This record gives sequence, C-alpha cells and structure tokens, in this order.
Amino acid sequence: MVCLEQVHKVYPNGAIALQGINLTISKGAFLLITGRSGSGKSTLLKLLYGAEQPTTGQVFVAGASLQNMQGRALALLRRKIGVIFQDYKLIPNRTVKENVAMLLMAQGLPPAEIDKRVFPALKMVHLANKQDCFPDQLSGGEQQRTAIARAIVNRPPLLLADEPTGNLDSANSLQILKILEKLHGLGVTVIMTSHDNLVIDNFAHTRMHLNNGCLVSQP
Amino acid sequence: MTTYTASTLAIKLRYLLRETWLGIKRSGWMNWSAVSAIAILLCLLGLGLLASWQMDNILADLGNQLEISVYLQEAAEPQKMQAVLSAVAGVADASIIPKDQAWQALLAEMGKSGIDQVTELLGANPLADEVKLRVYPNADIAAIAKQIKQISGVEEVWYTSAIAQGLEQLRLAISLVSAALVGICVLAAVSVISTTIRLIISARKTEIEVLQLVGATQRWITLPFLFQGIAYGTLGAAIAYTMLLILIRSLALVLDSQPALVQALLGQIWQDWRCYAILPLTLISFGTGVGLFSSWLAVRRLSGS
Repeated sequence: MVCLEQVHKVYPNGAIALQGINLTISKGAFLLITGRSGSGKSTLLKLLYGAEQPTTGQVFVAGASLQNMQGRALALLRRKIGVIFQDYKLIPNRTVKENVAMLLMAQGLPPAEIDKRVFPALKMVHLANKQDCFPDQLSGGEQQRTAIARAIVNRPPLLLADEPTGNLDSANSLQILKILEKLHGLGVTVIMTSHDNLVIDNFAHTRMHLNNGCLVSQP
Repeated sequence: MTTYTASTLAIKLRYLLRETWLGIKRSGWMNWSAVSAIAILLCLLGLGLLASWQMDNILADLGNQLEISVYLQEAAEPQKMQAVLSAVAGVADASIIPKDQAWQALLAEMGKSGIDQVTELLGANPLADEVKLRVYPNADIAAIAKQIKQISGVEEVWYTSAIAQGLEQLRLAISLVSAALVGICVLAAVSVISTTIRLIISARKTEIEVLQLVGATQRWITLPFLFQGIAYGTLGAAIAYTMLLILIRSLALVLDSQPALVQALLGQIWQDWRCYAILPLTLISFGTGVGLFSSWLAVRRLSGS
C-alpha cells in the first residue's frame, strides 16, 4: 500500500526533517508512528498525501509514485487517502453534513448518492444526530469525529491521522482510537502519528519510532 | 476518459453556482467594493463611448455638408459630366448649377438687378457650368478631388480642404482619447477586482486547503471564484447601464430648454440605436471579461499549491 525508498527531506531553511527512511506498509496494516515534536512525523505523512516532495528518494502510495505528481493526478490520488489533522480543519460556516459532504459535492455526485454516503459515515462516528450543527456548536471530540467522517466518506483504502488526539481529553482520545480500530477492522490501512502516552499505551498494533528524522525501530 | 451525461453536468453546474453564491454571500462588503468599482469604471467607459458616438454623429453631419465644386470646361456637356462624376467612388450626389443660374445668384448677392445690363457690360457671362458633389460621410475628400481633377472636361476643382483635414484630425484625437480612457479603465478594474478576489481567497484559505487535501481538482476549486468575477462584471455592467440610461433619458428631458450650442453638441444621442444594442453588449462583455481576467489573475497562484 505504501512504500518509501531512501527518503530524505530537507526544508529550504536547511532543517533536516527525514533521513534515509526505508519503509513498506502492507494493505490492511495499522501503524502508529511515535516521536517527539519535530521528529518528522507530520513530514512523513505530508509526503504520503503529496503536500511535500522528498528531497531525495521515492514515495509510492497505492502503486503510484508521488514524484512530481501534481494537478488532477494528485487530486485523484488524494481521493484514495483520508487525512485527519490535529486541528480538525473544519469549515466554520458549514454544517457537519456539509463539511463531510464537501468532496462528494465537488465530485458532482447527485444529492441522493451524497446522503447515502454521508449518513453511514456520520453513524460510524456517532454524529448522525448532529449533522445540521456548525463546528462551533460541537465539542473538541465531536469536531475530530466530524473530521474522521469527512476523511472516510469517500471510502478510502488508506487513512492518515496526524496527531488525531493531540487536542483531546483522555475519554475523547480513547473514543477516537476505538473508531480508528473499527475502521482498521473494516479493512482500511491506517497510519497514525502520536506522542500521546495514553494512545501509545492503549495501542495494540505495529509501532515505529522517529528520532530526529531517523527511523529507530522498524515494524 | 470521464463521460459527462446531461444530469452530471447539471449537478456540477448547480454545485458551482451554489458555491459561487455562497462565496458572494460570505464576502460581504468586499462584494460591494468590487461591484461599485467596476460599475463606476464601466460608467466612465460608457460615457466615453457615448461621447465618441456623439462626435461621430456630429462629424457625420458635418461630413454630409462637405461639398466639392467642379467647374467644367466650356466644351463639356453638364448632363454628361454629371453622370460621369456621379459614378466616382465616394460621391453621394451630383447636381448641376448652370452658369446662368450661378451668374444670376451672384448678381443677386451683389445687389445688381439688371442682369442683362451687367452681362452686356462684361461682354458675356464669365462663369463656367458647375457640378456640385456631395460626398459620403467618412469619404476621403482629398483623394476624390484629386481623382476628379484628372477627368476630361473638368476645368477646376474646389473643396474645403482645411475643414476636411481638421475634421479628420479631430476624429483621430477622439479615437486616441477613447482608447486611452478604455486602457486606464481596464487597468483600474483589473486591479480592484483581482485584489478583492485575493482578499476573498485569503479569507477562505482553510476551505481551499481542505478541498485540495480531500482531492478536489483545481478546476473545481477555482471555478467558483472565476464565476464570482463574472458575476461582479455582469452586476457592475447592469448598474452602469442603468445609470447611463437614466443620464441619457434625463438629457432628453432637459435639452429643449438649453442654448442652441448645447443642443448641437448633445444632439439626439438617446435616439441612437447603439445606445440600446452596442452599449449594453459592450458593457456586459467588457465587465464579464475584466471580471473573469481579474479573478483568473487572483486564483492562478492556487494552481501551484
């Protein structure tokens, strides 16, 4: 599903984010990447959804090389990847349903098909009764669950979660972890980053640690 | 290859129009800065066009009064010459003024009543038969006069060359001033609208970022902004045209009580068909074109994201 070959990433200001990363993640895996803030976790995920390009090395996602991929090809690849962010990135003046349905609307799907896909996604994250609320009417946990619903509504085979519990209390963090477990159970490949000890302690799958951009423990 | 059915296209168009409308609704006061700027600029453009057309009308009227006087040789037959001269390109009308008639008119002007007496005194009528030519508006009067001079049977050709040249220079000056005005209008409108769209993009930065990350294509992200630019242009054109219509209709009401010079300058511009066909079409085309170009300038940076 995901393959990184000799990946180095140096930002224009000279900061070294990743060094010599070789990693293969098979379909259906659930991987937790741990590491301190600034260790390169977010950069690694950005390489996977094409928001950054490696300085050297190759990145493959779903069989496609991301090297210099842009425009329509990158947009189509991103539809196969669900992304969850620490700060949720919800649109404040759109309802929960509109936030979740954004991509489906942009793809030109008919309203009936959108409803057919949005409702199960909201049900999966236990927000079916909040679809007409705006983000500022939701708690932090509910906002993150909305972001998860948005990430999975297009039924992507790969889900990237960048510190999904970073802004949440322990109860909400465990709920998010449970939802991700459920998605993994449905066959979705999940790659999550975290430095939250609660998440790390309750995680029962493959772990990997990044230290100053270097992979120090292989899955 | 993607196959688009009519219903898919209708759904996509509805989505784009909805997004455009939402964008306009959320842009608040920024909409009005863009629309009012383009409306004012289109008003200036419209006024420039109206002034230019009015000058055209005045020049055409003056042009209609331009005449060439062709004096014939003694042996030339006026009727035959009239036919030959009528056939010259650019000549609208040719009329004969027999030398006797011209002579009588001259004497009348001089206050002499006893024509036979004066003719007897001079020995004969000294004038030549004349053919007066009226040329078409915009015709090159100097070139026509030169061509006529070479026709056999023509003794002398007179025309008001100074006036003709002056009119041509004035027409050229009006064209240049209009072009400069249009150029300034374009620059100002592009600047105002693209700045407005950039502000709107900046305000919706997160939304655009999310759309990019979830896999919306660049086209679908940028099209609502382009539509928004077109909407500004169309609305600006509608406002500008309404204001210009009110202006020219008001002129029609107040012109009767104005001095003759003012009446001559303003003419009957409200009766010019171009005010009701070319003017609205020009304003809408110009407005939508400038709106589209300005928003394209603002969104093209998104393509690199």
